[in-house]
Parts: sequence; structure tokens; C-alpha cells
Amino acid sequence: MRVLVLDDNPDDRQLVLRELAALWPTANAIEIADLAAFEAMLDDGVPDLVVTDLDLRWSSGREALATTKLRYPGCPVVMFTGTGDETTAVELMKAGLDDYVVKSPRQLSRLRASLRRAIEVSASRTALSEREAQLTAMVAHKDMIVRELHHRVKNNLQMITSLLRLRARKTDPVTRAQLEEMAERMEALAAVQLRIYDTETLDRVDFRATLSDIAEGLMKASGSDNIGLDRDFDGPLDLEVGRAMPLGLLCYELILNALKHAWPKGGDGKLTIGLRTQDAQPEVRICDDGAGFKENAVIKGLGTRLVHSLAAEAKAEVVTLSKPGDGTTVTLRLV
Amino acid sequence: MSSDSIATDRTSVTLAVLVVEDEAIIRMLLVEELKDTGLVVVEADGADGAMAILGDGAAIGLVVTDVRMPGSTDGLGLAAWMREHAPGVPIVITSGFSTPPDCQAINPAIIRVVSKPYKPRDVVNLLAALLAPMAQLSGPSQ
Repeated sequence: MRVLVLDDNPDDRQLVLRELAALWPTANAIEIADLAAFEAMLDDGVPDLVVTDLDLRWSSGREALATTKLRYPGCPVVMFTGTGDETTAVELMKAGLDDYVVKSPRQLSRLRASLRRAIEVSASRTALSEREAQLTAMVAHKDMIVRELHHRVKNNLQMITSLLRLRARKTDPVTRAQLEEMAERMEALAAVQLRIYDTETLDRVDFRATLSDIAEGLMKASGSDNIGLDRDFDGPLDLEVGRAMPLGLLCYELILNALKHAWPKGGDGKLTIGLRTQDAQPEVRICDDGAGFKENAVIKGLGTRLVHSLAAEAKAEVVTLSKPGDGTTVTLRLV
Repeated sequence: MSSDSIATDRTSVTLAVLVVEDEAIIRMLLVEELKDTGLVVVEADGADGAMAILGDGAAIGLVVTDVRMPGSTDGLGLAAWMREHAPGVPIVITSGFSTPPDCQAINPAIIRVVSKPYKPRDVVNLLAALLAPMAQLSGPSQ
């Protein structure tokens, strides 16, 4: 242990040295009587403790405190002085002084306690900042792993769609269309996945943006140039990832269904994607102005089965309104 | 004029696209889709291969590169290298990163960052759109 003792009075220095020796017999107490020696000792590295008088001929305790704290903020400093007053003590404590002990016979027992406490506090301060550094490093590491994982998820999604599309290139038109559709489904998943990273906590998704992404992606892929896309959003919709995933896929299926069946004869059309909150209950709406279908018409195929199981997973109530010649509106009430 | 038409023909041949991507599957699809549109495509599975191709003096009109790849450097390292060794050759970055790096500081020739997963068709269309005016620019001048 290295302790710097700053005092012009050799007797007082001896007093401090004696207390230090009583507390820590192996401590290396260094008596400092001028500025050059003080700076040289600071250059040697962080001391374990600095004990200083307030009035020094070559400097002042105030200066010594400032210099020490500037270079080694964690190093404890105790003032042992015959001058000064309460105001000075308070001011210096605010500047980082650990304790202030008055030179008087009655206070001598306090000096020893004060020195011991300064070392103990400093030790726990060091342990605390080491722990803090450890935690910061751990958080940074976890953060890195999370980002790495997201990176891989995105890359793997790209691989999956690429595999499907490569296979699609080497097959008959019907299979090709099916494989392309699967690739598109993967991309709908990817659209949700991409939006996860826009959020700080990585557990929620801006579903308004996601819905737009999915609709735009699908319309581009299907080449429905004659179909316009309208957005009717009355506000944002933030969803947890576990819900956004099935809901995103669900919207994908509904939009795909509309693009496939709503305009069988071609011609111009309009697809509306909507978001609104009705009685504190969010609703997603997929609406087309196409052919519509009869009330009891049963839609078959993977699409419909998917819609039902995805709706259950997303905790969404599906309400379909359709009239022949008057379009179809599917409302997803998030219960 | 005949000399002009020769120059134009030469241009359409020399403007090759260099695809740099370490994932074979992703690279294969992008290369095939690009070839389908009639582009000349050269491929590399990392920055080292790409630097060898560019260093050999191959006439590359545009580079599309992934960021993270094994080798002595990555896609951004390639872009930085190109700043000195292939200045002005436009670069399109594809990346799975959430926060894109400061591309302009790396190489002002980085003209676009496409985030993964992307639709290959979108990238093909983008590259075709980027190459079209270049073909005209490097064609016969008045």
C-alpha cells in the first residue's frame, strides 16, 4: 500500500505515519514536502491514499486534492488540518474529499478511523467500478450476439428464398408458380423480421410499416400494374413480435387471395389496406373492389386453411364481408 | 456511322457486373437472374477474389457486393480498396446489417445499399437501371 503524506510540519507527518503504521504495518508511507516530490509520486502511479494538510507552503491542500482527483478520480484523499472551518470542509467534500479531520488531541482517534474508512470506501468503490465494467462488457457482448443472430436470420431467409427460386427456374410452369409463391411467403416473413430491428428493444414491430411492405412486395411480385394500392391508416400499430409474425403472414395470404381472385377478368381495381382502432381494439382491414363472392361460397386451398390457423395464432377474429360485384372486405379484429 | 456503332457494341460487351457474395446459393441465383437480362456477369466468392479480378484489369462496369464475407477483408474493405484501385466504378452493397455503415466515407462510389433479404428481381432491376445511363454515357460522345 502506498500512502502520500503532505504536510509542512514534520511532527504532524510523524503523527500520520504512526497512525498508518498502526493500521497497516506494511504500508509504504511517503512524506512529501514539496511540489516536485508530490508530482513525481503521482507520476509513479495511483496512490492508495493521500493525506494532506490544508495549508502547505509550496501549495495547498485544495490544490493537492484537485490534482489527485484529476489524475486518479478513485484515489481517496483525507485532509488533516489545524486550520479551515466547516464551510471549507463542506466545499472540499463536494470536490471529492473523503474526510476532514481537525488537528487536535481530541480528534486523534478520529484520524485513525477516518484513514481506515477512506481505504475501505475506496476498495468498495474500486470493486463496484470493476463490476460495472464487467457488466458493461457483458451487455456489449450480448448485444453483439443479438445483432449477429439477426444478421444470420436475414442471411438464412435470403438463402431459403434463393434456394426456392433456383429450383423454380428448373421446373414446369405450375411447380414454378408454387415455388415462387413459397419464396414470396418467406419474404412476407422477412418483411416482419426486418421491421423488428427498427425498434430499440427488438421485441416489437411497427405493423403499419410492415403491412405496407408486405402489400407493396406482393403487388410488385404479382405484376398487377392495373391495381392501385390505398392505405387507410388512422394511426400506428405496435405489436409484439410473437403476434406480428402470424398476423403478417395472414395479411400476406389475404392480399395474395385478393390479387388472385378479386379481378378474374382483369381491368382496373383498387386494393385498400387499413388500420384503425375501434373501441380500443385495433383492426386490420384488407379490402378490394373486385368481383366479390356469394355469402356461402367456400374458398378452398392452402390459403384458407392457413388463414384460419394464422388468425388463431395471432388472436385475430376474421370477419369477411363480400357481395357479388361489390368487392370483399376482410377485417381482422385483434382481440 | 460505323465507328460509332462499333464503340456502342464494345461498350455493351465491356460493362460487366461483378457479383461478390460468399453464399453460393445466393450468388448463383443473382448471377443467373442477371445473365437472363443479357448482362455480362463475373463472380467472386469474396473480396480477395474480387480484388484479383479488378486488379487484373477486367472491364467491370459495376460491383455488387455483400458486406460480411470471409477472407483478408470484407465487402466494405473491398469498397475502400476500390477507392484507390478502381476509382469511379459504382458499387451496390447488399447487407444483412441493421445499421448501415457510413458508406460515403468509405467510398463515394457506393451508390446504393440494399438490405438483405432482398428480392433478386429488385436487385436485377436496380442494376439494369443503373447500367442503362452508363452505357449511354460511355457510348459515342458528341
